[in-house]
Amino acid sequence: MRQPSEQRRRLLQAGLAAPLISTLPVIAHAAVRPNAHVLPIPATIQQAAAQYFGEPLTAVMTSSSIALKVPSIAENGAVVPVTVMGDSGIVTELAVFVEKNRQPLAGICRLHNRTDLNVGFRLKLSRTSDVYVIAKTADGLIGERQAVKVTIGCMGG
Amino acid sequence: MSVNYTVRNSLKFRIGDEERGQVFKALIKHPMETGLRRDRRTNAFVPADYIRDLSVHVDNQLCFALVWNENVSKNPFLTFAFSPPIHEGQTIRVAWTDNLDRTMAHETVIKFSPQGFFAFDGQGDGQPEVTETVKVVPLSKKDQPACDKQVSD
Repeated sequence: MRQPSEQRRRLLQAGLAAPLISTLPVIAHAAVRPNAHVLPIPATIQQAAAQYFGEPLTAVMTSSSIALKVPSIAENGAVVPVTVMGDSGIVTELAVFVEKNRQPLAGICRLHNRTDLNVGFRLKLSRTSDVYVIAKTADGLIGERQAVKVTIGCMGG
Repeated sequence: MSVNYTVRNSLKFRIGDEERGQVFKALIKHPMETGLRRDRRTNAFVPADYIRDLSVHVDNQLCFALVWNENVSKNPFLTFAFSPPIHEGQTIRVAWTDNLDRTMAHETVIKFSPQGFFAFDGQGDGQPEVTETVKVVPLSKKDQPACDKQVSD
Protein backbone atom coordinates (compact mmCIF):
# COMPACT_ATOMS: atom_id res chain seq x y z
CA MET A 1 0.00 0.00 0.00
CA ARG A 2 1.34 3.34 -0.91
CA GLN A 3 0.36 5.24 2.18
CA PRO A 4 2.09 3.22 4.92
CA SER A 5 5.39 3.07 3.03
CA GLU A 6 5.45 6.83 2.58
CA GLN A 7 4.83 7.28 6.24
CA ARG A 8 7.63 4.85 6.99
CA ARG A 9 10.01 6.73 4.73
CA ARG A 10 9.19 9.95 6.48
CA LEU A 11 9.67 8.27 9.85
CA LEU A 12 13.07 6.96 8.78
CA GLN A 13 14.13 10.36 7.59
CA ALA A 14 13.03 11.87 10.86
CA GLY A 15 14.86 9.13 12.73
CA LEU A 16 18.13 9.84 10.95
CA ALA A 17 17.80 13.52 11.64
CA ALA A 18 17.27 12.90 15.36
CA PRO A 19 20.25 13.47 17.65
CA LEU A 20 22.46 10.46 18.25
CA ILE A 21 22.35 10.57 22.02
CA SER A 22 18.90 10.77 23.48
CA THR A 23 18.85 12.51 26.81
CA LEU A 24 16.21 11.93 29.42
CA PRO A 25 14.29 15.12 30.02
CA VAL A 26 14.74 16.39 33.53
CA ILE A 27 11.66 15.34 35.43
CA ALA A 28 11.13 17.20 38.63
CA HIS A 29 9.56 14.24 40.36
CA ALA A 30 12.28 11.67 39.67
CA ALA A 31 14.96 11.25 42.27
CA VAL A 32 16.87 8.97 39.94
CA ARG A 33 19.59 10.82 38.12
CA PRO A 34 18.15 12.66 35.13
CA ASN A 35 20.84 11.50 32.76
CA ALA A 36 20.06 7.83 33.27
CA HIS A 37 19.81 7.18 29.55
CA VAL A 38 23.27 8.37 28.67
CA LEU A 39 25.16 6.57 31.42
CA PRO A 40 27.15 3.51 30.40
CA ILE A 41 25.26 0.27 30.57
CA PRO A 42 25.76 -1.47 33.92
CA ALA A 43 27.18 -4.96 33.88
CA THR A 44 25.82 -6.13 37.18
CA ILE A 45 23.04 -5.29 39.52
CA GLN A 46 25.52 -3.56 41.81
CA GLN A 47 26.62 -1.25 39.06
CA ALA A 48 23.03 -0.59 38.11
CA ALA A 49 22.21 0.47 41.64
CA ALA A 50 25.28 2.64 41.85
CA GLN A 51 24.55 4.35 38.56
CA TYR A 52 20.88 4.98 38.80
CA PHE A 53 20.52 5.57 42.50
CA GLY A 54 23.99 6.59 43.50
CA GLU A 55 24.04 4.24 46.47
CA PRO A 56 25.29 0.71 46.98
CA LEU A 57 22.81 -2.10 47.57
CA THR A 58 22.26 -2.99 51.19
CA ALA A 59 20.31 -6.19 50.74
CA VAL A 60 20.16 -8.28 47.60
CA MET A 61 17.52 -10.85 46.81
CA THR A 62 16.20 -11.54 50.26
CA SER A 63 13.93 -8.78 51.27
CA SER A 64 10.43 -9.04 52.57
CA SER A 65 9.52 -5.47 51.77
CA ILE A 66 9.14 -6.02 48.08
CA ALA A 67 8.07 -8.98 46.02
CA LEU A 68 8.81 -9.37 42.34
CA LYS A 69 6.38 -11.44 40.36
CA VAL A 70 7.48 -12.38 36.88
CA PRO A 71 6.97 -15.72 35.11
CA SER A 72 9.96 -18.01 35.19
CA ILE A 73 9.25 -19.13 31.62
CA ALA A 74 7.96 -16.40 29.37
CA GLU A 75 5.65 -17.52 26.61
CA ASN A 76 6.46 -14.49 24.54
CA GLY A 77 9.65 -12.56 25.07
CA ALA A 78 8.11 -9.40 23.72
CA VAL A 79 5.43 -9.32 26.39
CA VAL A 80 6.60 -10.40 29.82
CA PRO A 81 4.36 -9.18 32.62
CA VAL A 82 6.16 -8.01 35.71
CA THR A 83 4.53 -7.00 38.95
CA VAL A 84 6.20 -5.47 41.95
CA MET A 85 4.30 -5.61 45.20
CA GLY A 86 5.27 -4.36 48.56
CA ASP A 87 4.84 -1.92 51.34
CA SER A 88 4.40 1.58 49.98
CA GLY A 89 5.10 3.09 53.37
CA ILE A 90 8.69 1.96 53.08
CA VAL A 91 9.41 2.11 49.37
CA THR A 92 9.25 5.42 47.56
CA GLU A 93 10.71 4.57 44.23
CA LEU A 94 11.67 1.55 42.26
CA ALA A 95 13.52 0.70 39.08
CA VAL A 96 13.08 -2.45 37.02
CA PHE A 97 15.98 -3.83 35.03
CA VAL A 98 16.36 -6.58 32.48
CA GLU A 99 19.89 -7.82 32.75
CA LYS A 100 20.71 -8.91 29.25
CA ASN A 101 18.91 -6.33 27.19
CA ARG A 102 20.92 -3.78 25.34
CA GLN A 103 19.76 -1.12 27.76
CA PRO A 104 19.08 -2.85 31.08
CA LEU A 105 16.87 -0.18 32.58
CA ALA A 106 13.25 -0.93 31.81
CA GLY A 107 11.26 1.41 33.95
CA ILE A 108 11.32 3.68 36.96
CA CYS A 109 8.21 4.15 39.08
CA ARG A 110 7.82 6.90 41.57
CA LEU A 111 4.97 6.56 44.02
CA HIS A 112 3.30 9.55 45.52
CA ASN A 113 0.58 10.02 48.03
CA ARG A 114 -2.30 7.94 46.80
CA THR A 115 -0.68 4.89 45.34
CA ASP A 116 0.01 1.51 46.78
CA LEU A 117 3.08 -0.41 45.79
CA ASN A 118 1.38 -2.80 43.44
CA VAL A 119 2.73 -1.86 40.07
CA GLY A 120 2.73 -3.92 36.93
CA PHE A 121 3.66 -3.50 33.34
CA ARG A 122 5.04 -5.59 30.50
CA LEU A 123 8.63 -5.91 29.42
CA LYS A 124 10.47 -6.94 26.33
CA LEU A 125 13.23 -9.44 26.83
CA SER A 126 15.80 -9.97 24.14
CA ARG A 127 16.97 -13.34 25.51
CA THR A 128 16.82 -15.44 28.62
CA SER A 129 17.98 -13.20 31.41
CA ASP A 130 17.29 -12.00 34.90
CA VAL A 131 14.74 -9.39 35.69
CA TYR A 132 15.50 -7.45 38.78
CA VAL A 133 13.95 -4.63 40.68
CA ILE A 134 15.78 -2.18 42.90
CA ALA A 135 13.69 -0.25 45.34
CA LYS A 136 14.68 2.84 47.22
CA THR A 137 13.73 2.85 50.87
CA ALA A 138 14.56 5.12 53.74
CA ASP A 139 17.22 2.67 54.89
CA GLY A 140 18.91 2.27 51.54
CA LEU A 141 18.34 0.18 48.47
CA ILE A 142 16.86 -3.30 48.33
CA GLY A 143 16.85 -5.59 45.36
CA GLU A 144 14.98 -8.63 44.17
CA ARG A 145 15.76 -10.75 41.13
CA GLN A 146 14.18 -13.53 39.13
CA ALA A 147 15.46 -15.47 36.15
CA VAL A 148 13.18 -15.57 33.13
CA LYS A 149 13.57 -18.06 30.30
CA VAL A 150 12.48 -16.91 26.89
CA THR A 151 11.78 -19.37 24.15
CA ILE A 152 10.01 -17.44 21.42
CA GLY A 153 9.49 -13.87 20.43
CA CYS A 154 12.92 -12.51 21.20
CA MET A 155 13.69 -8.93 20.39
CA GLY A 156 16.45 -8.35 17.92
CA GLY A 157 17.53 -9.58 14.56
CA MET B 1 -1.44 20.29 28.23
CA SER B 2 -0.96 20.02 24.51
CA VAL B 3 -1.89 16.82 22.82
CA ASN B 4 -0.32 15.91 19.54
CA TYR B 5 -0.50 12.12 19.45
CA THR B 6 -3.76 11.61 17.70
CA VAL B 7 -4.13 7.91 17.16
CA ARG B 8 -7.72 6.99 17.76
CA ASN B 9 -8.56 5.16 20.98
CA SER B 10 -4.97 5.30 22.07
CA LEU B 11 -5.74 5.24 25.77
CA LYS B 12 -8.11 2.99 27.63
CA PHE B 13 -8.23 2.76 31.35
CA ARG B 14 -10.39 1.29 34.03
CA ILE B 15 -10.59 1.82 37.76
CA GLY B 16 -12.22 -0.96 39.68
CA ASP B 17 -12.13 -2.81 42.95
CA GLU B 18 -10.17 -6.02 43.21
CA GLU B 19 -8.76 -8.03 46.08
CA ARG B 20 -5.64 -5.95 46.10
CA GLY B 21 -7.54 -2.70 46.44
CA GLN B 22 -8.79 -0.18 43.96
CA VAL B 23 -6.84 -0.95 40.82
CA PHE B 24 -6.03 1.28 37.90
CA LYS B 25 -5.40 -0.55 34.66
CA ALA B 26 -4.48 1.21 31.45
CA LEU B 27 -3.76 0.02 27.95
CA ILE B 28 -2.06 2.48 25.67
CA LYS B 29 -1.74 1.99 21.96
CA HIS B 30 1.78 2.88 21.05
CA PRO B 31 4.36 1.12 18.85
CA MET B 32 7.15 1.23 21.47
CA GLU B 33 9.86 0.62 18.92
CA THR B 34 13.24 -0.20 20.34
CA GLY B 35 15.24 1.24 17.51
CA LEU B 36 16.95 -2.13 17.09
CA ARG B 37 14.43 -3.78 14.84
CA ARG B 38 15.06 -3.81 11.13
CA ASP B 39 12.44 -3.12 8.55
CA ARG B 40 12.04 -6.35 6.65
CA ARG B 41 11.97 -4.69 3.24
CA THR B 42 14.44 -1.84 3.42
CA ASN B 43 16.73 -3.46 6.03
CA ALA B 44 17.10 -0.13 7.78
CA PHE B 45 16.56 0.21 11.51
CA VAL B 46 13.08 1.24 12.45
CA PRO B 47 13.66 4.35 14.55
CA ALA B 48 13.05 4.23 18.27
CA ASP B 49 9.61 5.40 19.23
CA TYR B 50 8.63 4.72 22.82
CA ILE B 51 6.80 6.36 25.65
CA ARG B 52 9.27 8.06 27.88
CA ASP B 53 7.31 9.34 30.79
CA LEU B 54 3.83 8.89 32.01
CA SER B 55 2.09 10.52 34.91
CA VAL B 56 -1.23 10.11 36.62
CA HIS B 57 -2.70 13.03 38.51
CA VAL B 58 -5.75 12.90 40.74
CA ASP B 59 -7.31 16.29 41.46
CA ASN B 60 -4.20 17.96 40.08
CA GLN B 61 -1.95 16.16 42.53
CA LEU B 62 0.67 13.88 41.11
CA CYS B 63 -0.05 10.30 42.14
CA PHE B 64 2.12 8.15 40.05
CA ALA B 65 5.02 8.90 37.78
CA LEU B 66 6.63 6.41 35.49
CA VAL B 67 9.70 6.58 33.32
CA TRP B 68 9.89 3.98 30.60
CA ASN B 69 12.23 3.26 27.77
CA GLU B 70 12.41 0.91 24.82
CA ASN B 71 12.30 -2.18 27.04
CA VAL B 72 8.56 -1.96 27.53
CA SER B 73 6.27 -3.93 25.26
CA LYS B 74 4.31 -2.60 22.38
CA ASN B 75 0.88 -1.30 23.36
CA PRO B 76 1.96 -0.98 26.97
CA PHE B 77 -0.18 -2.13 29.80
CA LEU B 78 0.08 -0.51 33.19
CA THR B 79 -1.51 -1.32 36.48
CA PHE B 80 -1.24 0.03 39.99
CA ALA B 81 -3.43 0.36 43.03
CA PHE B 82 -4.90 3.41 44.69
CA SER B 83 -4.98 3.65 48.44
CA PRO B 84 -7.03 5.34 49.77
CA PRO B 85 -9.47 4.56 46.97
CA ILE B 86 -10.62 7.26 44.63
CA HIS B 87 -14.18 8.36 44.96
CA GLU B 88 -16.64 9.85 42.51
CA GLY B 89 -16.26 13.40 41.39
CA GLN B 90 -12.49 13.41 41.49
CA THR B 91 -10.63 14.30 38.36
CA ILE B 92 -8.07 11.92 36.99
CA ARG B 93 -5.54 12.90 34.36
CA VAL B 94 -3.29 10.49 32.53
CA ALA B 95 -0.56 12.07 30.44
CA TRP B 96 2.42 10.71 28.64
CA THR B 97 5.27 11.96 26.47
CA ASP B 98 7.30 9.88 24.11
CA ASN B 99 10.85 10.17 22.91
CA LEU B 100 9.77 11.84 19.67
CA ASP B 101 8.20 14.54 21.85
CA ARG B 102 4.64 13.63 21.14
CA THR B 103 2.32 14.10 24.06
CA MET B 104 -1.00 12.66 24.97
CA ALA B 105 -3.13 13.62 27.91
CA HIS B 106 -6.61 12.88 28.98
CA GLU B 107 -8.47 14.29 31.90
CA THR B 108 -11.80 13.04 33.08
CA VAL B 109 -14.08 13.11 36.08
CA ILE B 110 -14.67 9.81 37.80
CA LYS B 111 -18.18 8.49 37.81
CA PHE B 112 -18.69 4.91 38.83
CA SER B 113 -21.03 2.71 36.88
CA PRO B 114 -23.74 0.76 38.72
CA GLN B 115 -21.38 -2.25 38.71
CA GLY B 116 -18.85 -0.23 40.67
CA PHE B 117 -16.11 0.56 38.19
CA PHE B 118 -15.07 3.44 36.00
CA ALA B 119 -13.97 2.75 32.45
CA PHE B 120 -12.66 5.11 29.83
CA ASP B 121 -12.60 3.41 26.49
CA GLY B 122 -10.50 5.71 24.41
CA GLN B 123 -10.95 8.89 22.50
CA GLY B 124 -13.40 8.44 19.70
CA ASP B 125 -11.79 10.90 17.32
CA GLY B 126 -8.38 11.01 15.79
CA GLN B 127 -6.56 9.11 13.13
CA PRO B 128 -6.79 5.36 13.03
CA GLU B 129 -3.63 3.54 13.97
CA VAL B 130 -1.50 2.81 10.94
CA THR B 131 -0.92 -0.89 10.62
CA GLU B 132 1.45 -1.93 7.93
CA THR B 133 0.42 -4.91 5.89
CA VAL B 134 3.59 -6.71 4.94
CA LYS B 135 3.64 -10.07 3.29
CA VAL B 136 5.12 -12.41 5.84
CA VAL B 137 8.03 -14.34 4.41
CA PRO B 138 9.24 -17.24 6.56
CA LEU B 139 12.78 -16.69 7.72
CA SER B 140 15.46 -19.05 6.59
CA LYS B 141 17.28 -21.02 9.27
CA LYS B 142 20.22 -18.64 9.52
CA ASP B 143 18.00 -15.58 9.90
CA GLN B 144 16.13 -16.89 12.89
CA PRO B 145 16.60 -14.84 16.03
CA ALA B 146 18.91 -16.26 18.63
CA CYS B 147 16.49 -17.57 21.23
CA ASP B 148 17.01 -20.39 23.60
CA LYS B 149 15.36 -23.36 22.01
CA GLN B 150 15.32 -25.62 25.06
CA VAL B 151 12.72 -25.13 27.70
CA SER B 152 13.96 -27.52 30.38
CA ASP B 153 17.51 -27.10 31.51
